[in-house]
Amino acid sequence: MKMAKRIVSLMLALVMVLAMAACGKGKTLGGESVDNEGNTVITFAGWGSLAEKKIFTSMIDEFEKTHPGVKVNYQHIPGSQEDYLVKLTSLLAANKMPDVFYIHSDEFYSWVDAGRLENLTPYMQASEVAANTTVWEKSLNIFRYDSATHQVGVESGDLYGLPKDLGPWAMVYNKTLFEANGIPLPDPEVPMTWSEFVEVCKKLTSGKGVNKVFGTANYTLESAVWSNGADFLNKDHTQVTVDTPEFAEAMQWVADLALVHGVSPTAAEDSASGWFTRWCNGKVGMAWMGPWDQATFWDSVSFEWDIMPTPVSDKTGKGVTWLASAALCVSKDSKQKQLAYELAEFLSMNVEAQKYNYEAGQAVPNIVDMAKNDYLAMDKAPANKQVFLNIIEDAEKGQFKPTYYTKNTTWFTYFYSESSKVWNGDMTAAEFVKEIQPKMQERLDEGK
Amino acid sequence: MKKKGTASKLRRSERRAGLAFIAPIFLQFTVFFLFFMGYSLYMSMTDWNILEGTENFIGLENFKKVLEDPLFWKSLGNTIYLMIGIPVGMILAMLLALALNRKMRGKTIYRVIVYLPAVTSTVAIALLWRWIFNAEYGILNMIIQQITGKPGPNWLGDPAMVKITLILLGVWRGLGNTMLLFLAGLQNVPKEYYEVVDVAGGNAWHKLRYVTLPMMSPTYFYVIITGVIGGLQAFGDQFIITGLGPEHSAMTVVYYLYQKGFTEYNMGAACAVAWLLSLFIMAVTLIQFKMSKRWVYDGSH
Amino acid sequence: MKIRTKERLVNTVIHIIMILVSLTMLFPFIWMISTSLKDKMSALEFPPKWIPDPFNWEGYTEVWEVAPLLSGIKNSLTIAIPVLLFGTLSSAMAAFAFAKMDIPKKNFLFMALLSSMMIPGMVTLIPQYLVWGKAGYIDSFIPLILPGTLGNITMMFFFRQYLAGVPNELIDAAKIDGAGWITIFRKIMLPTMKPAIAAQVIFWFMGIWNDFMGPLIYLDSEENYTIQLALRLLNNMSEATSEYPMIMAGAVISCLPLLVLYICFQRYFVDSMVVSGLKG
Repeated sequence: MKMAKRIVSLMLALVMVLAMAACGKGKTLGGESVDNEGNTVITFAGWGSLAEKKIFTSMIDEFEKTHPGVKVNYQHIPGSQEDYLVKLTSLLAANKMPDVFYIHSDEFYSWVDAGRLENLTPYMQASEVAANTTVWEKSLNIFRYDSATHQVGVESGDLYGLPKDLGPWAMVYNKTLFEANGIPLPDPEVPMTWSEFVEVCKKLTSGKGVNKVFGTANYTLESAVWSNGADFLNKDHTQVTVDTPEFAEAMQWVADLALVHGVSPTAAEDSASGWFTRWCNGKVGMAWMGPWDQATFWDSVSFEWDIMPTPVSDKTGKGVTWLASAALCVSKDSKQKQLAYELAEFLSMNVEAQKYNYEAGQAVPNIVDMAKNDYLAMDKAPANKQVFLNIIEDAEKGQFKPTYYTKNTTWFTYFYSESSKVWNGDMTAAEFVKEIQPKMQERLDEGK
Repeated sequence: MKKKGTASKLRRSERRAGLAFIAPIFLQFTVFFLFFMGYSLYMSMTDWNILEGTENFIGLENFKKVLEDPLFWKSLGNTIYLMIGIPVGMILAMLLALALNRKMRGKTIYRVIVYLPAVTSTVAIALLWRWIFNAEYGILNMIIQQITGKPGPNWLGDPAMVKITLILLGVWRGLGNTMLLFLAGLQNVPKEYYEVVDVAGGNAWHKLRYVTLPMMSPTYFYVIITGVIGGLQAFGDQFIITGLGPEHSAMTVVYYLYQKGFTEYNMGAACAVAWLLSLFIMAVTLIQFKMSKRWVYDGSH
Repeated sequence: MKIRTKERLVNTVIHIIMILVSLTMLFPFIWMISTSLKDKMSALEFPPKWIPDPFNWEGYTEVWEVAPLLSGIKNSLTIAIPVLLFGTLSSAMAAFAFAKMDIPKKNFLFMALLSSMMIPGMVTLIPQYLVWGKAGYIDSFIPLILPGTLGNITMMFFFRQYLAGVPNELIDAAKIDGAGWITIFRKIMLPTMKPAIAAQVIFWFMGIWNDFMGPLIYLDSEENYTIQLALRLLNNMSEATSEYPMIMAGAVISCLPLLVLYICFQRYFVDSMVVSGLKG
């Protein structure tokens, strides 16, 4: 009996020691709002590269200077966007949502519709900074949500996130490589047609094996599909429309870049070494980039580069690409929403912060004037920055990704994983889309 | 009379002490196993969504949905496919064990080397595999290129090759462990049985065929059971080496579960998958136990 | 004479085969080490070079800056040490009780414990995760430590098998000397179990060191990452830019502690297999 007691008390002691150790160590996200020195603490979580972490750390320092007595606890979650989401899920499970956090536009719908995000419209209407700052219309619209109709991206909706940045996905070319091959540089305003694009790619492609230089790499399927007048979903985002001839044609065109023309890495070559690495090593003529890549390209590529208008489909004469954004959202559970809003607003709209952000090669400024004047005038690559702005401004040139409009994105990830049948050449695009459409539709319906 | 009293007192105190000794592990069993098993069963019958915050009882709806999802069946198929590594590993391990179960120099060194892959860090080996099997820069394809002059297969990008890559990893890592188990099993075979064969005029092949191989059946049984249970829970290697793989070719059941729970926020469905998986494991184990009665040597004859 | 020649021939053949097998088994390790000592460009070279020329140690010096490997090792040990200390004790106690003591409903309790080995940890993972979350312990080591400190059923099973082979006379003699159960456990059982404990502790340590799923879902901040998460982070940050020497350096570093343990205690690994004896 005595011994039984002793063992039980030993176990209890153990549990208590561990629990205490946990309290001592437990660094709560979003829990405590005052630290030892009496500062108000606000938590902020985001993902991104080490460069992005550095930039945000300095921006936060600036914010702390303008808000004495406030301390921002910046949780940089390393790894991919998917890892970040898993982490947010775990914070949600633990009731430890940060006050301010990124939500990518792909995930925005599910988060806002679940009621996890604070409506920022009232804060914004009361804010002088917001009243005096003009940011891209689209960058706000992307984070609007109408709680009555449960729709995102509608202008009548309320604002549930401020743009971290607006990322236009533009085609970039290796200027040095063009010149070395004696190919005239792409026109900064007049886009290439697809057939011209293929011809240029053929001229750029040379070599074999590890040293092969490709005309292009990772041609963005969304761009091909939209440019060819097709889409993944119908207008009200309830029907999967991948089984149209236009869609199949666009998809086949992308697949043929590798399979028929050999101007783009095959699936095998791509899995061996990603297009980004190839591009950075100067082994790709034309690829894609977002403004966040500028810093990397400034630092670590040894050739000259510029961006060009999105190639247009021969059939439609249109060239469309995607636009994505991450929102700075305020948690519905935040205990200091006003302050959280101010941090989000600072990161999104403050002149100094935005200047810092574009000068560091991380983004196109959110503030329209700054983008059209200071950013365009900046003496760093790309020379043709107007292409970025065109994609942002012109609805004919830049669209939100299809996954933005649906709460559940499994219909798309399913398509994406299965599509290697086409990239490998095991199936034609026309056969593939016919086969996959019902399965995608099933998943889309289930997600509602 | 008095003596008997002391004896029963002693016995009672022994029983109390015994219960106290098993108390910690039993606490773990009840709290972290029984309780959460029940909790998980309950969750599997709700539409528990961590993002939406819902938690309504929906009966067997989750099970129905999962069973109707072709991706679930695909992931189960993949998981079973990947178990091809078990028999392959067993045959190789048996050959090695037979080779090393004799008096010869250096057998300790061979044993140490063959077991080496089992004592490595999982993520490190997964990363190493990605590197070795890289279609362009990987050493394997470089060697294939050197020998045949043709490029090697796309190990990580071709749906059929992805599985072979993962199976090779499993065999490589598991070989040492199975071999040691077989070596231990071989040492447990009573010498007299071999003498019987000698007396009957049998040769080495007869010894192997009629004594060694049948006598090892408990070991096969153990290796198969643990292999199947482990194989059904495969996740980490796939997660790091291939992700879902092209055409979901590397999606295992646990990967499917992980996706349901942590990227689709649907914890209820994830729990249903977990339960389906354990029902499956229980069924497989029971069948194996039943079948084992027929072929496992249990020492009674 | 003839038989001996034949035997020698067989041995030679086996040696040749075993050398080939050993090379195959070692080949990935050799390539891992070789790559880790190259520079970024020469790691991608064709034809491949087995011996780096020149040796480049940058991978090893720089990897610590890129990924939190050092704190990863520290964190993994922080989890492993209390678990191994208390968990082994608890498993040994239970094994002793099941092997040598009279407990009401002993067989039933033992079978109940064993049955839990059949159910994959995945089943209880999600509810455990949610409960730990509600209790506020996400991003702390508690969910990874606490359950383990109460014991490990596999370990308990092996200990029991081992103790079954220890004669009861030892215990009876001690009882006559008036020793209590704790004394018997401490003074007689623990010392006899030493080899089994050594082997099982190493196995369990490997399990904790290699645990990936648990840390993946429970730990959030970089400073709490275990060695496995730190490695994955290293890969996420360096693979896109083909920093293979650095990734392989990280891999070598994370394998080293296990390899050292293994080389030092390799005898116990084999013993443990024989001990478990597969009688159960």
